[in-house]
Amino acid sequence: MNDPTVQTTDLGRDFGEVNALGDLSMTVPGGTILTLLGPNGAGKTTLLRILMGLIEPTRGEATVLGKPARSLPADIASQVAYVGDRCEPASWITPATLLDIQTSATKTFDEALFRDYCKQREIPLKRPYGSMSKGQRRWVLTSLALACRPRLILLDEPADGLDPSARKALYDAIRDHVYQNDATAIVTTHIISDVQRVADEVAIIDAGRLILHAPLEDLRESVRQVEIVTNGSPPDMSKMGSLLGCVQWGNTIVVWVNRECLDDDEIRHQLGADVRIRHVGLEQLYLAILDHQPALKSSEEGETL
Amino acid sequence: MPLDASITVVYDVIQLTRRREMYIYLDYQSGEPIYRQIVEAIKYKIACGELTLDERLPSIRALAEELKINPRTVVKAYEELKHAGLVVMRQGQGVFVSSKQGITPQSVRKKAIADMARRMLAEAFRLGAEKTEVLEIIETEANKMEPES
Repeated sequence: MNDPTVQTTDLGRDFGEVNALGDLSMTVPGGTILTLLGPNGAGKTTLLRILMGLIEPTRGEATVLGKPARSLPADIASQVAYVGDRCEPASWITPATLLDIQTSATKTFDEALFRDYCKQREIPLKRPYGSMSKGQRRWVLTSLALACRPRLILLDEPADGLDPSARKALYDAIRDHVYQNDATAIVTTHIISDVQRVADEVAIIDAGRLILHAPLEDLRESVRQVEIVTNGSPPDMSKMGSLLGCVQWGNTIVVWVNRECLDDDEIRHQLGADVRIRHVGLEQLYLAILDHQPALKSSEEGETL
Repeated sequence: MPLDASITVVYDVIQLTRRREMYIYLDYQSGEPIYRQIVEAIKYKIACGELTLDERLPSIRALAEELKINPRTVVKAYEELKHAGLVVMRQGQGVFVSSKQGITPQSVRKKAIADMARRMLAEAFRLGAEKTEVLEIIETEANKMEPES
């Protein structure tokens, strides 16, 4: 299909003694919205900053649009946009000033599109940044980046603190941009309902490690919560697919499994026990993975995720 | 005072601001793949006659923009419907509800109800019910619901 927009190989970054990111390998195709999920301090922002070339990796390699991220040539760098969660212009700056600056700085900047975006949320071009609401600020910065028509846009918590309607408008704009231009967006967020709405692919990062990376539709298709009522030992789940988490409540064992090629009837048949199989929303899955990861076995056949 | 007297805003006429392509409710939290939700919704529309035979479906692009989803998801849904024989793709013209023999609102409806029954039966058997018991209950409940003539 599409060439990968972003590719990382064994990517790692240390800050002094702290291992912020370790051995991260992933590929993000074009025409895709990838959301990065993970607890605070998991390494999401570090990854975005490496891709932007703002910091260098300690180990491994990251390529962006086919070139090494640590030394992006100017023509490639101009096709990548980044909106950090802490980039803020001075309070006296107006959208009109930003428009002027961006017009001279970026060849691909679409002035009319930026005006449209401002009009859409009724933000006057002469309003100083300092007097805008939080939602308006995020909107102006995100639409400024989108109006550069980037092939890759990196957004660090773009919807943090916004009301639902503002979040929807923001994500709709991102989606329209990505799908109309076959661009790619990488978005970090904590708001799982937004992810469920906008993500094509989901990556879960915990303590600098990539725990899961898959198309969201595939997860919906193949991840199941299996509840097994048993008084004895837990059944052998290894043939069911990869285990994402498990926990026991009373005599019920709950297992989250990526069932891969088996269908629900086959699972029921193989377990032969009193089982209930459910579809799992991303929120339950995320909590299952973070809170109920299966214990790593010491043998070589241990679960590898 | 009757309760509805306190309602001050009354809409006499619902004004449509914009005509949409096709109404499909998507439940993002449910864990059911989005493409499958689209497939089920269109099947349902065919079954209840909301979509008629030979009717043209929205283009992939239009439906993707309307629902704010990845065009690939719409492609996947249409492919699945085509595979099931429910729609046909005509070169250069678009996607149409199939008018092939054997595909009727009745047959689609039958299949949809059979799917519901399978899910219900699986739950009932899990509770330890026998087939005759389940059928009896269905009969009783259906009699209760039967519209008064």
